[in-house]
Parts: sequence; C-alpha cells; structure tokens
Amino acid sequence: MSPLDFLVLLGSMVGIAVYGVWRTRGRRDLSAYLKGDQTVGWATIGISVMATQASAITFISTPGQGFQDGLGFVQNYFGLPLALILVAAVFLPMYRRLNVYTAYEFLGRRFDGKTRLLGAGLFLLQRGLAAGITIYAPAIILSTMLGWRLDLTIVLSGVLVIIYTVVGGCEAVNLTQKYQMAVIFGGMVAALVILLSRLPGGLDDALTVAGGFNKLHAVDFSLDVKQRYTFWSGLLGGLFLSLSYFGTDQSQVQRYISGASLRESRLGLMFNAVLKIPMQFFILLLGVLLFVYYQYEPAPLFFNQAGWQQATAAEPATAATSFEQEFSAIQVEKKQDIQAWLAARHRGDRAAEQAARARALADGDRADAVRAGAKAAQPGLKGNDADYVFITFILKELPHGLIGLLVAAFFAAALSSKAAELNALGSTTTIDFYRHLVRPSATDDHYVRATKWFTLFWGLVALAFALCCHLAENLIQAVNIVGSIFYGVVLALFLVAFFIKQIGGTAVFWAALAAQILVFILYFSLNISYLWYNFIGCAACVLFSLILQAGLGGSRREPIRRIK
Amino acid sequence: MSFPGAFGSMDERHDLLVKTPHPTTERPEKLDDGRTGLPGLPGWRGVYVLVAGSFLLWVGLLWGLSRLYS
Repeated sequence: MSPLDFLVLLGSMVGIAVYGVWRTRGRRDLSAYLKGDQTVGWATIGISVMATQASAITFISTPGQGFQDGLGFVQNYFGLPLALILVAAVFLPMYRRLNVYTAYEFLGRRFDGKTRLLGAGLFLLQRGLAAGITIYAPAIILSTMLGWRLDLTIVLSGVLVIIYTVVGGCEAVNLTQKYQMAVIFGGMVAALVILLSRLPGGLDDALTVAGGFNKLHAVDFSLDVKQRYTFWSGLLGGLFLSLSYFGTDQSQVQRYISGASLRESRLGLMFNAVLKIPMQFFILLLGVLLFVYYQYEPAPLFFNQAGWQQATAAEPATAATSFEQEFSAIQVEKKQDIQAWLAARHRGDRAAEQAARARALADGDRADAVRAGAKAAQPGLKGNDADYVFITFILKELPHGLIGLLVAAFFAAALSSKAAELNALGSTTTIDFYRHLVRPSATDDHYVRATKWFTLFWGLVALAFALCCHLAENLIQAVNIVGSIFYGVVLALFLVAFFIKQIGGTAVFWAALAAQILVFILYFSLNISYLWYNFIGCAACVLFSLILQAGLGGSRREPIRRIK
Repeated sequence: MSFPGAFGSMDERHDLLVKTPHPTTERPEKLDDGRTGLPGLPGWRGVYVLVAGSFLLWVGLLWGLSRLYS
C-alpha cells in the first residue's frame, strides 16, 4: 500500500469515528443513548440494519464463495424477505408500543422477570462469545495480506470502535454505519467496474465461461437434503435463522426500534427485505467474474501467498516450484481451450464449442487436483484460500487510492458490525440485569454511565478474546455452533410470547431450560449438522411449554408483569 | 395480517399486553400506524405483497440466468 492508500484508509476510518463522537457528544438521556434521539429516518435504519448484519467477512469471503462455488450461495438468503415481513408486522409493533429498550424487556412484560433474564442471559452468552470473532476474523486476513502485525491490527480497529461506541451510544453507531456503508458500497462498485473493464470479450463472454464452469447455477429446486444450497433449504432454513436474528437479537432490535416512528422502522426493514438478495447476488457475481478474470490472467497456485511461502519455507525450493510450474502449465492450456471455446461459439460451430468446453473443464479439474496435492503436502497451510482471492485482486490490480478505499471498506464493515454488537451487549447488561436487579431506580445519567462502562467491558472482553485467538477456522465454527445451540430456544421464547396466548411464564421458563438441556445432550450424543439445533431447540421449547402449561392448569394465563 | 398458528388478530395480541397499564413507558404513537406514506401503497399489506413480489421476481431472474448460461 502506498502513502495515498494509507491516507484514504486512515482519513475515512478516523474521520467517520470522530464525526460520530462529535455529533453525539454530551448525551445524558438514557433513551437518547440507547435508542438514539428518535428522529432516525427509514434510510438510516435500513442502512444500519444492513451494516450490522454485513461484517467484514461478508465483503472479503462472499466474493471468494462466488469464485469457488458460484452463485448458489444466494439461496441462503431466500428466507430473509419473508422473515423481515413477519418482524415488521408482528415483532416491531409490539416492541415500539411497549417502548422497550431491549427485546428481552418484552419477555418480562409478556411472561415474568425470570424468563426475561433467561432470554437476556442466553443473548449475552452467545453474543459475548462471538464478540471477539468479528474483530479477529477479518484482521487475520488483512494482516496476512498487508503484512501488518496481527495484534496491532486487532488493537487499532478494536480501540477505535470502542471509543465511538462508548462515547456516542446507539446514535453514534447508526450515524457511523451510514457513512461506513457508503465507503463499503463505493469501494465494491469501483472494484466491480474495474473488473468488468479488464475482462476480455465483455460481459456475455464472461457469463458464458462462468456458466460453462457451472458458476451461475443460482437456483436449485432439488429436494435432495444432501445438497448444501437449494431453494427449499434457503427458504425454510433462511426464514428460521433470519427470524431469530432480526426478531430476537438485540444487536438488530436496537437498530430498528430507534426509528422516529413505526412507519420509519418498518420501511427500514422493508428496505433490507428488498435489497438483501440483490446485494448478495452482486457480491457473489463479483466473485464469479473474478473466477473468469483468473482464467485469462495468471493465477497463483494459492491466493494466500504469504501463507504458502510460510508453509514451504522449511522445504527444498524445488518441491514448491514443481507444484507451481505444473499449475501454471495447466493454466496456459486452459486459457487456450477457453479462447477456442469462445471462438467456436462466435462462429456458431456447436460441436467445436462443446469439445473445447469439455477440454477446458478437464483442465480445471487437473488444476484443482494439483492445488489439492500441494495443500496435502503442506499441512501447515491453513484457511480457505478463496477468502484471499478478492483482496489479492485489490492489492495487485487496482490503482493506488482505490486500494486504500477498498481496505477502508473492509475495516468499515468490521467496525460497523462490531459497534452494533458492543452497543447491544452494553444495553442488555444495563437494562436487563443492572437496572432490573441491582439499581432499579437510579437517574438516567447513572444508567448512561453504567451502559458506557458495560460497553467498555464487553469491548475489552472482545479485544482480549481476539488477541488470544490462534485458529480462526475452528473458532469461527465453534462460535457458530454456540449460536445454533442457543438461538432456537431464544426464538421459541418469542414465538410462544406472540402466538400462543395460553402459555404463561412458569411453563415457558422451565420448558426453555429443559429444551436447552436437551439440545446440549443431543449435541454431545448425535453427529448431525449443528444448524439442525436451531430447529430442535425451538420445536422442543414450544412442545414442552404446551405440555407443561397443560399440566399447570390448561389455558389459564398468568397475569402480565410490569417492568419497573 | 394474520399468520399461520397466530392467535387472533394483531389488535388482540396488542391488547393482551397493552391493556395492563404501563403509565411511564408506553409510547404516545398510535397502536399501528396504517399509513405507509408511499404513493400507490396506502396500506402495509400492499407493501408486504410488493416485497414478496420482488423476492419472487429475483428468484425468477436468477433462475432465468441459470438457464440462459447453463
């Protein structure tokens, strides 16, 4: 990176953070600190909800996903629009009508204090464990590619986000996310335009090559449960996960309850419902076009060049170069076959086109085999190489200044999702535990100060966790497993609250505990995909609630408790 | 708008919670602001149908792209 890139990176990141702190200085009112000044419009809410969900990994890894597997991953988002309609129609009006600070306050109103604490506790446990990853996961990729020290990258980005989140609260998060998303989209669009301008033969040829390599298979109506991405798994699984995330996760709830009115909050959610699928499609398409680009341009054996060089440092130089030479030779043959394939297509020679395409696909298989052989020979080479494709393109192919903007976009994404998490963790700790159990009748000023301390506490926990991480892949998977273990039960608490009026607090509380224990037992005794625990936890909690309520007294509903 | 498995209407669900008085915490705004302020879409049901329609349109476009370049 050149001095110009550093100037763009530091200017945009520090500038946005300073602006957020300056605009929200002196906030003493608890409502303003936790929910903003209640004048937030739908566009800000929509962007804030989008920025909270889209972490740096979204913008680094999703193009890699497109590069590796094509557009099929977009199906994972098919349940999201329907989930957001449900949240806008059912969850949001209730949160706003009761004027809650956290989603778990609603559980206290509908059931009782112990159920509220259970919901809030499960959120803190799950989100607190995940907190370090949102800083660590992008930092490991960025530090590897940029040659920066990992701990320094973590500390700099972590301290920056802690400062403006602690000082400015919810409003600072919303404000900064708006400008961070502008940096992200500016960078991504610039990269797409430059990539398109570098593709030989134009978009039609590029899509032909991508389609020929099965990278454009975006919708699969297959009922085969072994298929990772299908229309049905995306619609049903995505609906379930999105409903949990948008409806019950405080990091999202806090974004949309800060709207000036119910209308603004609803429109902000609908903004996401309409734009999320096209946004993911274009990010994946960027990855697909990168795949096409590297059919014409020399691609490295591994895009994680630093990792490859480190892994092969102790080996004789000939071992590594033999893999590289074989890979390069296949790449040259593949390029010639692709050019022959497109030439045959342009002159309408169908048979020659099919033959050249078959040769190119065979070349691709041989190249994959060489890469797999090289990876097997170097067990020290860890991580998903596709994660490094987009950032390699940025650093090698984009002009200076734009490199700084794209790296700034990745940091902006890391900061925006981290800020929302810290904000939610601090708010939930203050409102659902500190105010509820320790100091029920203090002044707003006291609670604002308490929230700042709790936000700082969670920020330091996240930093410490990120600095102690050493195996990103395993930890990311571990945090996803932890999330899936708890998410189902939390969602069930809300679904019972909204849709089954006969069930009271005692029944749902014990049902949730029993369901959580069941999920733990199944997790340690079964060998199934961890995603299934979302469904199992939810279904078990609802079922146990019905049984327990029947045992406790049929349809008699307990009185609704008030929050003090 | 009603959903499978939902008890009663939205208003009933609201009543379940909000009829118990919460003098200091309730919001002064209307229970459910039915106006969207969007031209041609006076009610929220129309917005939800439009969003669902845009989802189906995207599925159709993506399916068409898959077929065109398969």
